Amino acid sequence: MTATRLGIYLGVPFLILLAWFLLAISEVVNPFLLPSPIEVARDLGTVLTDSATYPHLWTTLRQVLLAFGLAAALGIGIGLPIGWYRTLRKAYEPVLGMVYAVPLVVLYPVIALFFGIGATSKIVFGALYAFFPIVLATISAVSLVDQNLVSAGRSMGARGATLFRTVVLPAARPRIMVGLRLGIILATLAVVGGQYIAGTSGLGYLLATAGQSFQTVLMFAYIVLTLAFAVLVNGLMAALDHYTNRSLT
Amino acid sequence: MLKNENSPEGRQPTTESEARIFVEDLEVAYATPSGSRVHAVVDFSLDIRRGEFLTLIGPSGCGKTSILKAVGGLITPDGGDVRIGDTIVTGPVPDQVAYVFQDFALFPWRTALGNVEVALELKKVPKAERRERAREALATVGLADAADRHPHELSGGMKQRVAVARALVSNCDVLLLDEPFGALDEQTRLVLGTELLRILESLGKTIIFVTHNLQEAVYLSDRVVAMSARPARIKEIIEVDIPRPRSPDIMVSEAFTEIQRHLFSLLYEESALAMNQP
Ligand SMILES: Nc1ncnc2c1ncn2[C@@H]1O[C@H](COP(=O)(O)OP(=O)(O)O)[C@@H](O)[C@H]1O
Ligand SMILES: [Mg+2]
Repeated sequence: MTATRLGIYLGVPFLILLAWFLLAISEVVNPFLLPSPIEVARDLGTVLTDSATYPHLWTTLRQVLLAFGLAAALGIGIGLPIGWYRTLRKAYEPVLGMVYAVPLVVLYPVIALFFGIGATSKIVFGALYAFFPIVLATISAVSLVDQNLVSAGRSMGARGATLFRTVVLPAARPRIMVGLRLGIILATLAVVGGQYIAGTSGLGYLLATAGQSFQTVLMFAYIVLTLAFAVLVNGLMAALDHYTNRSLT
Repeated sequence: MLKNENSPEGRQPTTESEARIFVEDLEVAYATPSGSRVHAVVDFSLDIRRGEFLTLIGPSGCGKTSILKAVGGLITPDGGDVRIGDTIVTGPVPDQVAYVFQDFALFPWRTALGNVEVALELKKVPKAERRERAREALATVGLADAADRHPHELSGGMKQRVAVARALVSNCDVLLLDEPFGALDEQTRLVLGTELLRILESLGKTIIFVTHNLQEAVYLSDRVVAMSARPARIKEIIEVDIPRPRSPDIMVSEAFTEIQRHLFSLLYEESALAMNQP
């Protein structure tokens, strides 16, 4: 990586950090509400050396991945046939689009009622959030596959599952990936949110306890930790992109 | 690998009795958005001889692609049928018929080599062999050095040659070429046309070629079928009695320009008609 590119990558985070620092030391904002980055870094250090932190991280990662996996399997599994058959698409695409527009958080109490306040409800909530962008992206990805490529595949003898594997899936893959990226972001949001609203472990739970006990410095440390977690999840998606690109083509 | 064992001396003139492809009373219709049906092809009959280079020429939208797709088994006719040898075409026949599509239809996620290989992959040819044959086919069209490039890294002319290599690699005796030079500029078109002819003259394949370029049609073909505006009907079949192998010089010969002039007058009125069609 060149120095310029490094500068571009780190420029914005650095500016934010600087602004935060200046705001904090100038005490324009009440230091209780906005602790200085140095204090937060100190608490973050304590959090990271505390072995009790890691089970929470692990819980969150597991719940996000399970929620995402469930949503990806269902979303792609359902989206492929709907995208491929025009009659199915005409019937279901508008309905799914409509449900996607509903703020699904209203369903959280119902989910908690059904699945309790343990891990299952977080996973289901995360999967619910991730499902819609994935299924909608898959439907449009498949319906937008260049029919000339399909004809080319058929002319060379591909049909049924082979046609799907050789032509339709690789052609639809980039657009499906967009849905998957959005899906995992929403799954993370929903899982952490679910832990925050009613949980007994996970990043969301840590944030909630720190906030409710007015330990703002600690809360900011957890926020930074959550941001790092999001970066990790993003990295996983880049790996998934790379892997599917290699294995499908 | 690409040589056709049956005709070491290359393309040979053949007689009607040796016809290879029979199109009989072909009818193709499409549903329109309003629910009615529009006929692209009506009562179209034609026999294509073994080893013949036959060109369909006609105004755009007249039904040429539809005929080709019916021959290749990519669409089911609404009437009549197509036979290849003794068999009625009911679906794609990848062992006998290879296709070059109007806009090349290369898979953007595969390299040039991968795009040629896919034809063999779908025929379950073992990996080592298909790699080797694909490399040979690319070399035949002069693209040995571009094997590892993806379509977006290739010029139009190179993409076209990859598409030709993909069609040649599976050694089919029938080639269907749908405006293979349609997306290219005039110079590239001329060079590639000459090159394609050189390759094909040595292979002795049965070819149906679609174009709307008169010069190309006369230069490449044994027979040219001039078509009417939609629905596609045969207006006239012109034999091109210019001996092979042909070199670009013939394009200025008396015989050549005479045929080209005749074709032009045939097509001019049809094109004018076609332009006023919805
Ligand atoms: N899939 C399709 N659906 C509806 N109409 C079509 C379809 N394909 C072709 N047509 C119509 O059929 C006619 C002939 O098309 P085509 O065979 O592609 O002609 P050409 O190749 O000579 O330009 C055109 O008028 C075209 O609009
Ligand atoms: Mg066409």
